[in-house]
Amino acid sequence: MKKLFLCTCNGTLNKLLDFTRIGKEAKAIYDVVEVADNLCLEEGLAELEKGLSGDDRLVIGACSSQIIGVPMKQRIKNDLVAFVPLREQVGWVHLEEGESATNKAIVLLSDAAVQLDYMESQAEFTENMVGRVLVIGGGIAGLKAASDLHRLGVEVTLLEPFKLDKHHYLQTSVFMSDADTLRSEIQEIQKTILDVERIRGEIREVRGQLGSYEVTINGAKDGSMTQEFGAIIIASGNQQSLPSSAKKMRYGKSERVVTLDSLISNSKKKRAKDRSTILVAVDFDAPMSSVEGSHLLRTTRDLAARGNTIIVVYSDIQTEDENLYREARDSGVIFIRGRVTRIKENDKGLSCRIENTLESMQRDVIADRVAIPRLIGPTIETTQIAEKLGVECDDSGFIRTRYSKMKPVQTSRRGIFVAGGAKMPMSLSDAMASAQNAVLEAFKIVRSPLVRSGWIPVIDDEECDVCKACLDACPNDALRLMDDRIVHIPAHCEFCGICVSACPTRAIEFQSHSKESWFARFEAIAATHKRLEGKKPFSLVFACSECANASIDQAGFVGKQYGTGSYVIQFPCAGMVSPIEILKGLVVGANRVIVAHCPPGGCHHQTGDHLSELVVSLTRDMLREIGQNPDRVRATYMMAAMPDKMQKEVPVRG
Amino acid sequence: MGDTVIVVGAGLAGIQVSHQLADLGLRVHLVEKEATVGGLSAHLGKVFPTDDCALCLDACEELFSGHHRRCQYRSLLGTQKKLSLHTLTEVRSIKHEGDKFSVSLKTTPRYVLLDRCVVCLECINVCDVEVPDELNLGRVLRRAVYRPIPQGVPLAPIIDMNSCTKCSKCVDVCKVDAIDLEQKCKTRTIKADAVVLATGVEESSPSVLPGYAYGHCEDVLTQRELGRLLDSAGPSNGKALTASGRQVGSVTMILCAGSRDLNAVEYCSRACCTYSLKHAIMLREQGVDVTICYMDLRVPTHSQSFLERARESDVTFVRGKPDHVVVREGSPVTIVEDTESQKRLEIESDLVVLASPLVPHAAEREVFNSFLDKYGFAARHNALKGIYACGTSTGANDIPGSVAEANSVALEVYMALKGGA
Ligand SMILES: Cc1cc2nc3c(=O)[nH]c(=O)nc-3n(C[C@H](O)[C@H](O)[C@H](O)COP(=O)(O)OP(=O)(O)OC[C@H]3O[C@@H](n4cnc5c(N)ncnc54)[C@H](O)[C@@H]3O)c2cc1C
Ligand code: SF4
Ligand code: SF4
Ligand code: SF4
Ligand code: SF4
Repeated sequence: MKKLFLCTCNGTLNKLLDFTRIGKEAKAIYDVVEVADNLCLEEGLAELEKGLSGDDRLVIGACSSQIIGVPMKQRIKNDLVAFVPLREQVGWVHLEEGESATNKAIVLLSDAAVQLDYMESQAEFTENMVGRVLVIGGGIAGLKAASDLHRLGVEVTLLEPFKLDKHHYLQTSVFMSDADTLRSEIQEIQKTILDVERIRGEIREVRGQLGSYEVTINGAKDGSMTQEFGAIIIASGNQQSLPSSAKKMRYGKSERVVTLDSLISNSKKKRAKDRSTILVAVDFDAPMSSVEGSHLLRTTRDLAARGNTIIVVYSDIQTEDENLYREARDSGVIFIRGRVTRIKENDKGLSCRIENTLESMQRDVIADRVAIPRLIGPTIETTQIAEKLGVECDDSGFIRTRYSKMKPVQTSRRGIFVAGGAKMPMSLSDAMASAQNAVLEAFKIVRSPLVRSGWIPVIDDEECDVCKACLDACPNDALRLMDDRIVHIPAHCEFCGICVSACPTRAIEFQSHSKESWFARFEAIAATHKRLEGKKPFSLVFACSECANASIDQAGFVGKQYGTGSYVIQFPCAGMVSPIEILKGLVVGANRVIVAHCPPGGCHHQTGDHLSELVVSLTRDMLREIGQNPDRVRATYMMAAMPDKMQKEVPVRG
Repeated sequence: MGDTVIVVGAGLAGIQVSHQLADLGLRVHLVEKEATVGGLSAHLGKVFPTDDCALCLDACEELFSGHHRRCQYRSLLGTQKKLSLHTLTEVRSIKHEGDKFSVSLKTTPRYVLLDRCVVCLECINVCDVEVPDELNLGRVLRRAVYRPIPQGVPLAPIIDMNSCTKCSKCVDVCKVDAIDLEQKCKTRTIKADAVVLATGVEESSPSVLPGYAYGHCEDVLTQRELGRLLDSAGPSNGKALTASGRQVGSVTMILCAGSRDLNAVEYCSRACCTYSLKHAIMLREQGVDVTICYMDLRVPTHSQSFLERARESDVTFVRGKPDHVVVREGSPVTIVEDTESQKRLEIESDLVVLASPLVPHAAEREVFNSFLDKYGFAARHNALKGIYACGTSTGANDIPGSVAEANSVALEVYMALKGGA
């Protein structure tokens, strides 16, 4: 039976909304209509449970599904449930328009009834994960990751570069910390990984996905080997290189121009005579990371303490440790803001012209040496590894993470993480923390099977041209080519529906969200709207179930009022919306269709924000071509921090 | 070893560490002194580096499998089996007993029962008492029963007994009996195997720097206060207005206003440069002229784009730390020596905004004293085994840094309690 449970929310919603009229209308489309005052409380839930039998299909017209959804699902066994947020998306946002708000409630409830007609049960999918983790080492974070995983009892393989001498880790990490701390840290970790499988080599090929990556490694000794891993941690470190400005500073032309690091190296030959004047020319145009800054400060402090006169010409000094800055100044380092524009060599030494940023002021300084701090950049190996693993890099070649604010180690591919300097320049403690982050994520993957439940995309082999558009679009490796067919692996699916809109022949339909279901729902909305509101225009808002829907809920929480002729339809992800749904929305009579997605770069499925913009601009082109007004279709982003977005999109009057 | 962990402070770091530990199977008590969680993030609106909500967090896997980045109100924080949230609760004492800690907690009344309130907001509608809303610079009024932050979790309102007249109107209107004006303080003791401090930071009050006219001139604000104005859910719906309600035409920002200063806070507060840039960009979008006076621009690698965007949107940068701010005809004037041109500038503007130092919360409470350094920050692992810290309680930081540290501490706690360490 189709049942509707309405909640007045402590007797408040029925003050604005005419529950009698709603109930009367609802009786025409539902077998049972019940009204409660506090559906989310124990007594309300118990009442609900009593009124249900196992195969009932159910609509809850109450507060946001985000609030009532989980407690409800924990309580009742029925899995065919649709929610209508009468509180956040009707009652609280149409305070001045009782009658229209009641109409809107009825429209949404008629939509929900149709939604139930197409709804299928959600199945649960499980997949076992390979228990071993591959750590692609080379940087100090790799040692730490291997060590922690080993201590957690996880099988781990540490893959290290071919060329790896005794001093490798120390040399490649000099800038991360002071030398003593670094040395003892490395020694400590090395002791803990005596039992870890360590191989030298490089990655040749990677196949598979989260839970079972099949990796072929070209080894140093035994040719190539292939092994399966549940997760992979990239910790290939970074390297120091000369900035492009080095040439202009006469590096390579004058023996007096050297790298800053060479001045503190222990080799006597290169080491500057104490009591000389050293001008440190920082690349003005390259932004300095705080690791580079701290290293610069440590080095110049030590050089000054040996009796040298140190002049640092710089733009901004970055450091995570303000005391280093003070120590450098206290030991006599002179800081001049500006850039070195010209260096001339004469018998007295190097004559350096320093210009401050306003260009109006110049001064010349004579120095015995000019020292150039090296910049930290990604290793070529890192970029190559990324390519083999199919993970994205940023413009400078560091591994890109999925969401910079809160996913510190997640790469663009699930089950592959980045630790340490392969992501960006890092201090020793940050690199260690980043290794721990990667270990935590990898550990959570390999320690238990992957369990997912949801509606899945279903592929119609007859319609499918095997163009692989869906396969390329899927952000989660959940689609694969097997025997010339596209096969869906549900345990990897995140149920975003991006594959649906990617398919040019619409050979993929999402369970419960098929084309037919959308069409029937839009038609129900339009028909009910027309019956109750006559010619009043209405908009359809296709909102993603994450940020966009949150923004619309928040409009309710902060009471931002907007127009009643606005029907929000939740899509799992805005990336699921195709021109078909948008055009159908217009055909049934919507004045406007708004596709609302997560903020740029913030899509929970990685690409939906971008894809939905593309789909909308395509649809607008189509409209333009047939002489229709393209402005009837819009894409926009919404998020909880912008509760006024709905108000801007759907003004109260209009 | 047991598996009970107490996390003190439900800011982003505290929530993150709690979710991770609960997902790993440990028993977590998350203790928050305020009525709602989120800490600083609840005041911020949009944040760098992603330019989206501050309120976003990684929800637990128990309730949301797969991708689970969710808004605080959608995260159902505290409803999962392994995590108990205690709001309005403070730690009174931490006693070390063998390899356990006996932690005594005190909960002050909310007067609204969390297990009864359905958040219908009717009590707020009927309350007659109106007082200035301190969180929103006192520029708007709130009732005695109110929500400190509309989307703050738990969503239920709280009653401010200092202004409540006990008229009982709210009690009468609440048909689910969720209001108890006679609620009393509660204390309880929890035996824990580890304690994680995630007590965070707050913006220090600039009144310790009398030169900047804060407190004398209402148009001298801190960055946090400006952030409230620029939040579209804030007191002026996102518009920058002066105290007298006029649209702001120009803003001067003073960075390091008290940080990196041997006479005030010695360290660099690390996040302020970038959030000042964030606010500068938002102001430029409203057509407001912005001048930033700074010593060094310390922008982390992940947020370099904010610096570029600020430059592209014609923010004026002046290198120099202002000596003082004077008030002329009611408006603040910033006196600064531009160290590049070596000229003394007097910058008139409608608002002056100070990047006040971020100072540790923990320092205010004696119970934590023995775990803190001279600035009031805690070490990631304390000398006393079993005491950890993460987020800004270990040093001023931004959200990415705080969250990453929370994850790594979660791993350390897990390894210490469940083997592996
Ligand atoms: C104006 C401003 C703008 C900012 N903008 C950005 C930005 O755009 N991007 C960014 O990345 N970062 C930004 N930051 C920094 C960011 O807010 C912090 O990095 C982050 O919120 C820190 O989180 P936390 O959990 O460590 O601490 P907090 O958020 O401070 O949380 C600490 C929690 O502990 C609680 N607590 C304290 N003491 C006790 C106690 N004794 N008992 C119980 N509970 C206690 C507090 O009430 C609070 O809820 C900004 C900061 C400010 C001030
Ligand atoms: S629904 Fe999303 S995750 Fe699942 S197969 Fe399609 S594109 Fe991939
Ligand atoms: S970005 Fe904002 S709207 Fe989106 S999930 Fe996070 S908090 Fe919610
Ligand atoms: S306390 Fe009662 S009246 Fe107030 S919001 Fe909660 S349920 Fe509604
Ligand atoms: S982050 Fe910037 S404004 Fe803040 S204290 Fe450091 S240098 Fe000063």
